Amino acid sequence: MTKKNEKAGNDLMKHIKPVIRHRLFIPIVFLIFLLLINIFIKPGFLKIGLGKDINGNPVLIGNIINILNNSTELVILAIGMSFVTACSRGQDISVGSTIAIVGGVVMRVLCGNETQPTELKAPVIVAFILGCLAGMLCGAFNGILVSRFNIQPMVATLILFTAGRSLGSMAMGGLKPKAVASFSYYGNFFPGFPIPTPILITAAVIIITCIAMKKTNLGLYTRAVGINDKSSRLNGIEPSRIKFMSYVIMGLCVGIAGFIQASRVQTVNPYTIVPGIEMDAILAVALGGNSLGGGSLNLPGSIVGAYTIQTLTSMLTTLNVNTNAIPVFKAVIIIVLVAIQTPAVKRLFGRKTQAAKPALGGGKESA
Amino acid sequence: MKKLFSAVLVLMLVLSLAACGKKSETTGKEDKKITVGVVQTNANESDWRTANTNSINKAFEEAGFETKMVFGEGDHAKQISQAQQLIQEEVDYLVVLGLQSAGWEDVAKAAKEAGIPFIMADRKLDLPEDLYTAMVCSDFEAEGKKAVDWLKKQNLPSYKIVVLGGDTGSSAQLGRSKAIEEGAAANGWEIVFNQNMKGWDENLAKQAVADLIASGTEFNVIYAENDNMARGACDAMSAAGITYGKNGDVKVIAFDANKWALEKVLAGEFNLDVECNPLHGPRIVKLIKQLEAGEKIEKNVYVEEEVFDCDTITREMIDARSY
Repeated sequence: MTKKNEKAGNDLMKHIKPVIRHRLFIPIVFLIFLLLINIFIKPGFLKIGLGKDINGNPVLIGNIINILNNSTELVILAIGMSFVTACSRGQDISVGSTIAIVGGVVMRVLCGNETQPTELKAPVIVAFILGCLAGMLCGAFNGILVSRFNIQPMVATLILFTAGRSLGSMAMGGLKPKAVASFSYYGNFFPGFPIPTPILITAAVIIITCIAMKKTNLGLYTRAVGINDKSSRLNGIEPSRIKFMSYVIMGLCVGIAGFIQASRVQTVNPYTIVPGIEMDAILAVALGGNSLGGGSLNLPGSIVGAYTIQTLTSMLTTLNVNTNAIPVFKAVIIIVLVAIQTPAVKRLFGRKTQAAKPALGGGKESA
Repeated sequence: MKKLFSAVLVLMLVLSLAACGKKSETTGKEDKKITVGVVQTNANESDWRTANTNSINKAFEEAGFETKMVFGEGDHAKQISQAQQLIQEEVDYLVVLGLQSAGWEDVAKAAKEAGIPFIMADRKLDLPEDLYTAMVCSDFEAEGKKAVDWLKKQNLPSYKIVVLGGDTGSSAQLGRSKAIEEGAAANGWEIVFNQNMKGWDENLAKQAVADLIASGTEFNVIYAENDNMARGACDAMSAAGITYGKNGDVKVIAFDANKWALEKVLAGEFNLDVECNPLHGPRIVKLIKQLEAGEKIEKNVYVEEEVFDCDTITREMIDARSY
């Protein structure tokens, strides 16, 4: 009986080990852990109901839906930030300010010079494309500074971090317009379709990224440049081009995120839009098990990290945590999350689950 | 015809240039012009701030003051150094709209030593009475109390209040939150949610209210500390099919009273909007003129502010407003 149990246990361990050692294990466990806390405190947390909005259109209502919906910008930014981090060994801290610029451009295109326009001044697709172009232009600016002039990413992006929100205000001509309701579909619901549009956009972005990673060498090149500039140049990869490209990809992500953000409330306040999102995006990358020193590209990890952060934010709201305690609360959870992924803790963990097998290097992770 | 047209254009250009030249000559002759240094927060952080900046600029221009306006752009330390710079430039009056209420003692002392009257506007700064000359400030706690009084009069069977606070630590947030917290404690109301939204952000307020609805938190009053957050909360309620406003289940209280928000009060979407008056310009001009004439002024007078109730608001009240 005991032998049988032991054998079954060994078999089980054989299946569990690869799961535990999987690079997504810790991020996912934490996400599940957070969700469990939520369920414990509010049993109805996972419930998703079909409700009706004020005009009688069907809508899905539930905390999970809200988390998936509200994390859209963060997920998209985390994808871009992963590329930037992996190859340029630094972070783009200008994403929040660039979203202000994109939002400003989108609003100006849609509203012209009026504060309460009665119709859209241009087709939404035009605003979307121009918004993305604005984002990519900012990305290209950062990219040139980093790749051609070899400025440290944080210093290079500090320029737009400082100036971006004012530029966004200028793009809007100093006005605070509110676009008509039909622009709200992209950040909320299409009438009659109950799933929030941002969730669909997130899915589309993730699928496109997956295809790009499978069909191109982007992931390999990005990591190669991040691990060693010189050796990748010797192998025929131009590091500056890859770095430049990663910032343009980041810019495109910012463009999409800015467009969604503008659509959510159909208005943009460049000075307050997405406060502090750059730090959340960097945190998502770190939570996903990517090295902030570059060289590793774990996109699924970053995405799970982004969802974790949004779950935490949502949790702090539903639990009505005292405002003054929120930063402390968040900091404690983040420290635990980050600490458990450090090599020191991992080694301790590894010794228990797997006897003295050398840990895999961070640089060997793949997407 | 074309030639004639262009000739007329050129003539107009020349004339207007000449007019400009003349104007600058006359201003040059006026050697005794009052210079007022203004330390503003941000140029365009909100509709309220834009109206505020415009009001000051316009009133000063009409009064014939020379304005030196500087912007702190969200940086408290920058504002202090800007104020000190203005004192060194020997402006005749110093007007400060502080980002934070603390930390202005040194500036006020320096101004006093230099003999420059120190006028604080917008937020009341933490200064002893002898260090400032006058103030043009909003009493945020009194604003909150007006909302609490109104809420009391509604005689709801139960009060479950959602408080959407502004930027943590700003005097507007502190005053308005204090009023509702004390009001709720005094009347036995329940505050089911009380958190501050970073940057008074509309979207954050919307997401917070959506989360509350999804998790089944019941509420029947939204106390949003600015117009934008009230609008965000209404968006979230619309999306979940909850009725609000004049004929709805949830009472919506907003602050600041921007013109577009008053339209919402008139439409019955907001129940109450408490004004926070940004038109400081004329008041400051009046104060300076009194000081110039050597009249005595009262030190601690708050700006008068109104409330707009959806039951009593009229189209004329909205049209009469400039912002």
